[in-house]
Amino acid sequence: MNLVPWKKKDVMEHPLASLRDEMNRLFDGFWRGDFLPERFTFARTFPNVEVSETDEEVVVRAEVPGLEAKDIDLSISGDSLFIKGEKKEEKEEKKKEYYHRETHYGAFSRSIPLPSTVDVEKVQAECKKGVLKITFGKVPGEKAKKITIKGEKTEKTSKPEKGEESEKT
Amino acid sequence: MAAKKDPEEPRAQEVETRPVHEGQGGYYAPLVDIYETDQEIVVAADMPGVDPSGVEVKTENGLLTLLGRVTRKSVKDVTQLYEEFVPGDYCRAFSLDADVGEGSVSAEMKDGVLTVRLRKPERARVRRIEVK
Repeated sequence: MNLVPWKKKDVMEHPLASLRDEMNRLFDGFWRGDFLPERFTFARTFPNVEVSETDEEVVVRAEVPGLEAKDIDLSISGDSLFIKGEKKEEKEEKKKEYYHRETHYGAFSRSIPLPSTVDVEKVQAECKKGVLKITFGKVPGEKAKKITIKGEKTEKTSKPEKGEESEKT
Repeated sequence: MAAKKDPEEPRAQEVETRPVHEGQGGYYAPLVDIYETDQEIVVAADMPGVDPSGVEVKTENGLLTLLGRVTRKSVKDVTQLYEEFVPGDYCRAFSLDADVGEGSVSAEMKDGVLTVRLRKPERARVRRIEVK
């Protein structure tokens, strides 16, 4: 007797579906540069950022160890924040012999999409302790608007309540 | 604790770090650059968000430990919209050859980079001889 795994009909998947999905992910990642050593993706992926929001402001933080305010070029265009600059190699010490090198150097340029609640006129940026912090005020009065959905009226079936979508027959 | 890999491996070797303080789930290992000049061995670690008061550098029994603490301000009602890094403390340790630990050690914390300089003892320093 063969033992066949029991699955509910609506979850029935081709046994190779997960393999196919994995292969798709691998290939997509390949074109994105997932397999490239970090020094090749540095320009696009440095610095690491974190965006958080409170009621009054939106804060973008970027990890830029070794950089000062003057090394970074910050601008806004449309909905995006552009962080550009160059992480220069230390030139002061001559006759160095590296035996371990994990950090990367070079020019970088990243764009961070900003939420629409951001007021680009009210912005402040500071760079301290290797962290770039950009604080945006928010556009006043931006609150989530509730959208009511009108249902379809049908004769035979019961009238759907306002705010509910009726089933399409 | 110190894993000796190949004898070629020079003076500073990585060592397993484990959380030493209770309440700390784990540490980030900061990226480091290690290089040698004529006079010293320099270890530069990227620790963004750490200021000089949050740094601890120890040399004990041939073990160099770098610790950086981040001060986190807890703000109420924050929504994280996008997160590529989570603030956390940094720790990394290296085993040093006996002769390196003896000399003087200095550390500087600037712009989120901790630079530790270990002076090589007399005999290991390079004295360049000018050829006329």
